[in-house]
Amino acid sequence: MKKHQQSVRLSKEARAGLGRTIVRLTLNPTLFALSRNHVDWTGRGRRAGKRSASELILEASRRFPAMPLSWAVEGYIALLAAGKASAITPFTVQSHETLPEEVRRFRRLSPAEKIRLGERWKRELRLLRGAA
Amino acid sequence: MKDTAPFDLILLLKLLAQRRIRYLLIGRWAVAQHGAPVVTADYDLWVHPNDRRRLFQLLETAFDAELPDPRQLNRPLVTVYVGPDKIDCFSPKKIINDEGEALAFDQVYARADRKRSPKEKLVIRVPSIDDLIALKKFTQNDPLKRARNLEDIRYLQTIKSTTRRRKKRSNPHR
Repeated sequence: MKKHQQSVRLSKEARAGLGRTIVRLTLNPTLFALSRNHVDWTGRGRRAGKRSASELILEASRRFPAMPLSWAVEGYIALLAAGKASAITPFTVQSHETLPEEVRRFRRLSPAEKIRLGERWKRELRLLRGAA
Repeated sequence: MKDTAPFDLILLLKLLAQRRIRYLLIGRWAVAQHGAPVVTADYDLWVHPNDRRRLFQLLETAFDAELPDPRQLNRPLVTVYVGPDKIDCFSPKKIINDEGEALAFDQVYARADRKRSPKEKLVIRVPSIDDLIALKKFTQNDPLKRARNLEDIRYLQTIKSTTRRRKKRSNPHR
């Protein structure tokens, strides 16, 4: 099945967010057909409480920031069609490796070891305060 | 001379479990249990209001704690000293944070995480990360406390976001 091509002239807000004026999307035709319940692709927008194409693209790029734009839009349409409002909200997941080394080391300790280390830090702080 | 021990959090938590006192370790020690390397001088416990008396008895008998005037022991927050160590014992049925969110002891207790050290036969009950974040928003408008709690919340949110990913990886079919 041939993929659907759609060009969209972005709104001012979307232009600021994406740094482009016109985007050309390549979309799965089934998803594109499903999207018509939620998106007004004609550019008139919002008449039936639908999003404009610009809004859709901006929201999709925020929801899936690391993906190519067409993929992000396809994924976002799938979420909209599934009616999962909570899944639409953007979130970021950090990898464990992004945590500072001291946090990673501390997390590996057992609950009792965490308490013992905390007690040691506490004693050291008390000593430092006493010495000051 | 009384046969009492110097204050030891691990021992206290073991005794609480043995005596089936419904408690939650809250405050910075709970933040540390979730994996944040933070340090604090005092200890915060939230106990079920019906178990409050038994907690005070335990602190007195096991650690020779200095309890306040008996009339004050019914207050929702009682501070107890064991030598230089300060233990804040909270016992309200629910805590309402600065954002007006109500946290009932029973619900937080039911959702609590159990941190286990099998070698030590220790199980620590700490509020789940989400509940702890909500509890950290209880600052009674103290700006110093708020600044410290914000730091803890940042740690907890980072830990939460990395934990979610690790759980997904370890069980991709869920």
